Amino acid sequence: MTGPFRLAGAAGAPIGFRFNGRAMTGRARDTLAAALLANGQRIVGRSFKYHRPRGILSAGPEEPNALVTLGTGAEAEPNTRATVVELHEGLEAFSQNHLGPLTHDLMAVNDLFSPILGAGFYYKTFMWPRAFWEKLYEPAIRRAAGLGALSGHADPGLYDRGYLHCDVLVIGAGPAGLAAALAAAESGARVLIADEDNRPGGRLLAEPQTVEGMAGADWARVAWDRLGEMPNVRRMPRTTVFGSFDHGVYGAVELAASGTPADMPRQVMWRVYARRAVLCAGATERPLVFPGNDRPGVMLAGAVDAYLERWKVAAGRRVAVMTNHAGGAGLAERLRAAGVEVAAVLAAETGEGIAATRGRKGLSAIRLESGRWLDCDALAVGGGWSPNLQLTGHAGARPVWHADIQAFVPGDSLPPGMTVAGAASGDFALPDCLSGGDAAGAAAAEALGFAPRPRVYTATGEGYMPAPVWRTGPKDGRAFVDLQHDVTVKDIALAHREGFVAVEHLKRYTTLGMATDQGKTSNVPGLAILSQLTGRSIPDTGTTRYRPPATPVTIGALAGRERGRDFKPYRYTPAHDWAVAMGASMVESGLWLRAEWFAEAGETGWRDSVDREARSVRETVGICDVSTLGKIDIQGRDATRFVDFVYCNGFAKLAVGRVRYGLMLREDGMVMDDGTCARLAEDHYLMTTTTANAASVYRHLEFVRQVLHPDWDVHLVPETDGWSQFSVAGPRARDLLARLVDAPFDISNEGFPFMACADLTICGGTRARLFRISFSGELAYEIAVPARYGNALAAALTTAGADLGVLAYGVEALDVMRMEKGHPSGNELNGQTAPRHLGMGRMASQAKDYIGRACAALSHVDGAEDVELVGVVPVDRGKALLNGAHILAPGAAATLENDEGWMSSVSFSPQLGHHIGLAFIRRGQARMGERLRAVDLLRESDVEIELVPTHFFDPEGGRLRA
Amino acid sequence: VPEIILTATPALSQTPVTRDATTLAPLPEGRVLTLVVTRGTGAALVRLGLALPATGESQSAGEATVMRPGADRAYLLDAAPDAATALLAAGQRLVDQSDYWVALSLTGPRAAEALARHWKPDLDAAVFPAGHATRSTLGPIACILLRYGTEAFRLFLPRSFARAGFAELAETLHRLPGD
Repeated sequence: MTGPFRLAGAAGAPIGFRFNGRAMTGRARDTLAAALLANGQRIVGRSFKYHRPRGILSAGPEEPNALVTLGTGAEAEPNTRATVVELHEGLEAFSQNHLGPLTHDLMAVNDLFSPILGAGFYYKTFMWPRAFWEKLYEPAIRRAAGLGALSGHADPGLYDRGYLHCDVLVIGAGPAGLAAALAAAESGARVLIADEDNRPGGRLLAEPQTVEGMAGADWARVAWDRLGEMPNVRRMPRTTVFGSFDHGVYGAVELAASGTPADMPRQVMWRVYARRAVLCAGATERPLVFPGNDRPGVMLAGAVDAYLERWKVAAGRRVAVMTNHAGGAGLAERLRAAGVEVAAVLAAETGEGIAATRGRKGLSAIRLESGRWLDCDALAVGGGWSPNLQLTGHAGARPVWHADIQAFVPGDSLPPGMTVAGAASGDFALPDCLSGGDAAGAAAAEALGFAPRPRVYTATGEGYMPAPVWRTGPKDGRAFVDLQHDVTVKDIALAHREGFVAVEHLKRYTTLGMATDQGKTSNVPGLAILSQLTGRSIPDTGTTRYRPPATPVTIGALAGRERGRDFKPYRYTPAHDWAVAMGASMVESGLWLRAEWFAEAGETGWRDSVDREARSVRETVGICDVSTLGKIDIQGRDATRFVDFVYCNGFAKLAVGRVRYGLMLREDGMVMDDGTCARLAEDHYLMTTTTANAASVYRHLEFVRQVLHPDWDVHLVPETDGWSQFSVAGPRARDLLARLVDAPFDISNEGFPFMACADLTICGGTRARLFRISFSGELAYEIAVPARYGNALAAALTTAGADLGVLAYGVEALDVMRMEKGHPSGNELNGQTAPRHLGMGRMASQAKDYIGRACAALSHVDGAEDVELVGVVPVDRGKALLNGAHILAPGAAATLENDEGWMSSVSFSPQLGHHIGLAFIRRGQARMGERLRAVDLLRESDVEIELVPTHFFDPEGGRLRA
Repeated sequence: VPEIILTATPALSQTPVTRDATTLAPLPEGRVLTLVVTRGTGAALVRLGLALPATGESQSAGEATVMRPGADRAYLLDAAPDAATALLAAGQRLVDQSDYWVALSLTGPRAAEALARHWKPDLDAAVFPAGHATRSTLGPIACILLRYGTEAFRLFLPRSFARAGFAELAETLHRLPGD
């Protein structure tokens, strides 16, 4: 025997586990709940609000009470339903939500105040003083009420994701699901059958019925094995289908079997694409509501049956049974047959209800409405069944009420491709489940062109019609409706008195059905009680809307692998290995890894390296990996029209072999991106984009091509990854490149002037592209070779330029130099600036149509309509400027009304020896020389500044044309 | 300055990874010509001894393969070195993307199972049989997948993502459940 409540005939090897540190023994096929019951553990947790002792109510996923924390330390998993946890050797579980021992919870004092802690108490009570809410009330309430606590550590478990496709998805492997899967699979359809349990069979495991002359559990195993033999079937135990989404997509979470090694995923989130789905999710039994109905030992009748039949565990020594249908007698018989004493069998539909219960740590007696007390340590309660139709409603469908079974069943408006069979459709008798499942599986397959053969199953079992009895006992007793959220009949009555009579209002006011169990056992009793109070019928009262997930899904499963370093992959430039070998400090730029600077010996901080790099480039020559810039190949007879249409400045007259800077606008007139576009041939362009916008610009261009001008002959090919591209900048840039280009290419200033481009070969025949463009303001080129030569090109440039003083520089020095030249970058092209804000208003053509022209005069940011980009220097050159500082007039208070603009980019300029900045300032262009303040209250900085032109260095541009 | 010759660096230097007779391996970098499919593309390919496959399919002739994952885009793999010149002469639009695409092979009985952890389109052999090609994503990576055998796939990734893609699939092979 494994525990004092274990009955004879239990299968499975003994397994050791601990609950609250106490060693216990269960069996291999047990759930944690079954093992706890077998060991006589009656209290398993404390209730959410009143900290009342609670025991196990159910034997499945609907469990509202038995929430436990599994494991310790970082691996601790709170709020796990003991009724679905597979027992394994060494499992450690802990009860939740108590201060002190589980049996002597100090927070149980809350229960003494229950008369004043009804629904809406918080809303009404904690209104004042207002300041107390965040500091006092909320922390205190959170400490007192709640579920399990997170470990505070990162979850070390692995999670994964995957995609599955099938003709027919069968949700649930009970009798209807197995019959549906067999019917569809035997016709040749690709079938996926998923069940949240680790064993197939559903209620066949919990009731002594027969199918095809076999015990139900045996038939389920045979059917499951038969499905396993078919190559067109995928069986997925431990898999919960939690959501139904558009286009036949279903979400499912597969749990790893107990004992899975730690380096394997503990959960896999599957997205299932199903052409058809058959929902066979069964039904959930409802309790009856009566005073004292939450004591440990009060259980669902079906759960008492399941523990008895499947796990050979007695719910108690002396069990009473109360149902509102004819099924109670059968359970009592099975209990007696197993040697369990039956205290009473009460037929609630005839008025034999319970008026009160007794037992501080667990049920010890019940009082009948007649006033007689009966000793018992367990009570099996059956109030009918609610079909598990949550998945039918995720797309918005409403169920309909069937009075004969006192339950909502799926309506006509199901998600496309879905049918419902078995208890989920309201068929509670086993023969009906089997025939309904078979018919639904066959119909799904037939709809897809398969030819199923109908089957006829023989089976025992009948369905019981519950009476419309929802509660028993006196009306003033303390009777719980939602056990997980401690919502009582009194709370519902209060909501009714205060006018919250719509079912959605009732839910929100009382929190009925809002707990993690989503009210699986409480929603229907709750709205039935509301309908009694309002005098409306249950269908008129209606039910709340179902939303995914139908059962709790861990955040880890939703995240899959995408967390920490694996949140997004790195992209590597073709010269990444060279940069690493050169000692580059790398920085994430979008997904790319880019060299931010190359520190040299003796340099003590990043500023040393960046200042040296920026200064040296302007003195000799530097190389910088710019492969990350987006590159888009544009070809076609209408390529020129296309390029001219997507930039706001003119491209129609760009000559072959020339490059032009381009400003691209969105339809709303704001700048989308900037870059250069090279005309490689009459009908062939190469566009570059910023690193950040490479994908969005490509998408935009495809929209223009496919939607706005499908009549144009234009073709786009993304090319970013195909080339390694280096900026070669500085007064010796030409000297350096002249050593690599193959004859007879003329790289002289006359032969290859500023803004020229060419296809050529370098280093004895390697294909290359050369562009004479400059971001730094120096004599500069960008040279590109096929990506496989990226490392070699970088090495060649450093080798060939050794005597010229060549150096590698990173994106920080690049940024410093572009600011010295006053070039806008990401901080300025922030999606809220138009050309005129950037001082580029005259670039926007008046002579052609282009995207954004219609809205070019508009502004979309209140108060920033007239800002203009200007240069800024500190009046005291020794002071630092701060990015993000706001611009104020001298003496003006730091208020929104006085805000004159903001600092968008700042840098120390090694060339000038002081800080410089770019700022958007109201009417800035007309205010050159004016003195204002750059104020950053967060960093306590208030610096007097002077407005200057944006070109801090070489404003005439003589260096880049040299 | 000494004469400098540029030497290619392979996009991937990883050694193959095998699990349950299923192997992930980098493929040698071959030639990839990206073709804009227009009227005349089929005829131009025929003149090269090749054929334009239907959308979603591929055709092989000798060493060369034409795969067409989308209606207006085809990829000519490992064709003769002068194929680009011939196609350009025939008025075709193309881009040499030999350096853009990096190919991985995933072969073996669990190849489809491993791919299904990342690949949204249906990989069932009846839906996506040998010879078919399609585009989708491996996480955030836009890829092309060619099935060249029932248990044999070639996955084409943009070069900057090649290391990430290989690492991801290698991890997936490791994480496949045991039988």
